[in-house]
Amino acid sequence: MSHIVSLRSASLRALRSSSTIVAASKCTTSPHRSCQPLRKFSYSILSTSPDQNSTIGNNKNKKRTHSARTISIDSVPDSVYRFNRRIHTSPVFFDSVDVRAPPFPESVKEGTIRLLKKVGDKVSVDEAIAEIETDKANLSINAPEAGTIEAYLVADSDNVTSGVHVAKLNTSADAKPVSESKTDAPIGKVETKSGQSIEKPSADPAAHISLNELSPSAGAIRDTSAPQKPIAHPIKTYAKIDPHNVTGTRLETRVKMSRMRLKISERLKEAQNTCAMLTTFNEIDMSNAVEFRKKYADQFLKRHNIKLGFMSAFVKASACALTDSPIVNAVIDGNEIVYRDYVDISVAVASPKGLVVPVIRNVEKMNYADIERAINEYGEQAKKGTLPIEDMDGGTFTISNGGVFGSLFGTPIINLPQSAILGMHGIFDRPVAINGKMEIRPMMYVALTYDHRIIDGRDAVLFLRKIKQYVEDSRTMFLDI
Amino acid sequence: MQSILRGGNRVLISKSTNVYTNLALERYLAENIKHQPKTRLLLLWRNQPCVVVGRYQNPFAESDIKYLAEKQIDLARRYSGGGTCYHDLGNLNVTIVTTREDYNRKKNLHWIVNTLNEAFNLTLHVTDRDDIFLDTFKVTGSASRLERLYAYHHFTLLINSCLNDLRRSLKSEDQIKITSKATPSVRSSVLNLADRNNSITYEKTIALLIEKFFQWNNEKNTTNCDYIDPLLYYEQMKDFENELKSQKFLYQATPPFVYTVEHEKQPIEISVSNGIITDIKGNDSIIDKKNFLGQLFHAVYHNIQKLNKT
Repeated sequence: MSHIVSLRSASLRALRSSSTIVAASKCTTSPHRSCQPLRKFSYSILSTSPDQNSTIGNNKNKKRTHSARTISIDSVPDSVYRFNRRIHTSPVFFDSVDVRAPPFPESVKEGTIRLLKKVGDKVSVDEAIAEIETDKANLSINAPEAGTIEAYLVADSDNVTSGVHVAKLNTSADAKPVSESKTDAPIGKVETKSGQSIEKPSADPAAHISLNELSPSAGAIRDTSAPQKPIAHPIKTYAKIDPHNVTGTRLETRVKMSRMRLKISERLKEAQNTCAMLTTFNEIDMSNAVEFRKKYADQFLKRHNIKLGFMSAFVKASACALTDSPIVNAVIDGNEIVYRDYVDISVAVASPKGLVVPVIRNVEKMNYADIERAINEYGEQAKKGTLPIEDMDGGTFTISNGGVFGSLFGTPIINLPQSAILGMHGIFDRPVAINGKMEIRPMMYVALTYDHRIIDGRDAVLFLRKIKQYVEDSRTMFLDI
Repeated sequence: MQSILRGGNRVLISKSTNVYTNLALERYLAENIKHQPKTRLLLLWRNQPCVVVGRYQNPFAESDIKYLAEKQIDLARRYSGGGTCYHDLGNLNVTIVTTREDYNRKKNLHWIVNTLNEAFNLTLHVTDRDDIFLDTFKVTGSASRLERLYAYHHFTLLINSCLNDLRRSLKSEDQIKITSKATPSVRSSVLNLADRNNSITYEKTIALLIEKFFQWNNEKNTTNCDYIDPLLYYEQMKDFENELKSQKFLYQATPPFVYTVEHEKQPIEISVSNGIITDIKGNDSIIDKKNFLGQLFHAVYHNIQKLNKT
């Protein structure tokens, strides 16, 4: 798939102005497409404008190498004359050998390449030029022939896939070592493929035919010229950069979205498109809750063998508030409002695969201990990945806790098919005015995002105030006020 | 002497417990034996306490270099990739060498798991990272090296190792200070086989493996099992051994990294490439750059640690 050969570029540029050149391009076949020895040749005419040249190398395979850019154009003057003569007369035998990554073992897709030799180093046959580390296995890339390393088409520590063109080896005896400084610099911009393109076998340049396997008499193995200078228009690069590192080299990398992420984005958008969502806020003075928890934590742990957290306080408070304001517990179905006489609260739990939201059923009947136990159980199951699907279904209300990450304030998105969601945030000490005096209290902002189609502002605000009351003073739950 | 390099299904047990010697022996045998298709070479070895890092890892990020020096625990870098492990006499190393075509890690691991489960009544299983776990504890880590004509897969087996020393040696405070593209280790909790079944010993295990190895390969000639004294082949192996012992290979083969030090609340970034400090970014007035630029990182490591204290 490499249509570009380094040393030609300079010579062809020289010839460009004089005549149009017929060049043969070698279409390398990938192993799954056709039988090996068949090489297709196509002819293309090189025009004089450099921009057009950039498209000539293109065939159906959109990805191209930009290796020409990495090679400095200081070829020996003699060779220019050699090309001059050869291009018009006989097929060219080229002294440059492509070195490619070997097939990876055990269906591994990609690995990290480590360069062992520098450009300009002389290597003997079968000497190790580089190593690729895949999944704890080191593959060694050996020189197919003795020669000098002309250029590397990948950078050290790059991700490469099997068959990728790694280096060029100059096997001619009088090869002048190419100057290294220029060649190493733009190395980042080369054709290492993203490992994610697994679904397109044709995109994988897995042709293992290196030039030394072709005999010189096999016909014109001339490759079409490369663009002589870096392409003027910004090409979508196919270089692989680490998506987690912003290094400022102005490149992109495309990573396919996982199924889970697609699902999540779908549901979020659906919620936004269906509900008339808005959010009301309030703040909760957590001092009583903190004190309460501190006071009874040990006793609770001893009796129930689980830790007493804040979630139970909020879950129970929400359940009580929901029984008081049944409209928040209801949902729109078509043109009907469906009221429910039970409260199922979905609690967001972190699992190794991401966020899952299991449902605690009939919270209106539970006490703090029952709630903590249920949450604990779900946490364990989530960690092991054994959460049954039925437990994630349904729910009449959701509580999301952004506070664990330190969030101060925020607007959660409703979890369909519900009508409201409570967002808890972080507890921070703040100065507040109490009875005319300033005091420092641990405060938490809470947010209630609700569907305005069935819940009016008044209902939502009063609902949130009830939650605030039930958390700030849990005794009020018994007073039914 | 040269018959040591014959091919076929064979078992070799190394008499040496020096990690550099054993690693050199492994490579020497792998490169020079005339491997025959569909046959395997089993190499069994163990080392005095040492820490072995993968080919492209950063020893500073993987282990506590000071602790190793204090306790005179060797530090070695192996030729295969993968992560870092701690060896001592309770940790059995197994290498399976084959032709390149016959390389198959999963087969090797499944053989081990089946053999050990049957004989010792265990519940080992192979994970998709090619480790062997007993419940949630790791007992085996794998690594391999593939060349054009041969390939080897080696793995460790925690029989009766000192886990405290293991944890202490592999704990690195420098891990957060280092950013690089070196291969990171994936850490797991470990367990000795002997903790689960206290009748398991090193001697029993190797006897079992040798017997089952020939069965596995359908090899009727079970006499092809020798103890090998690497010292007898010192001349042939000395290049490998010297490379493995050299500071150059140990420290300078680390992929380029940046080591960040906090000096008087200011971060100083030391860029190291090929083991040599190439650049220092930070407040110029605080540190004396001349002392560090161009020096070998591991040589001035001590002084760099001192910077961190203030």
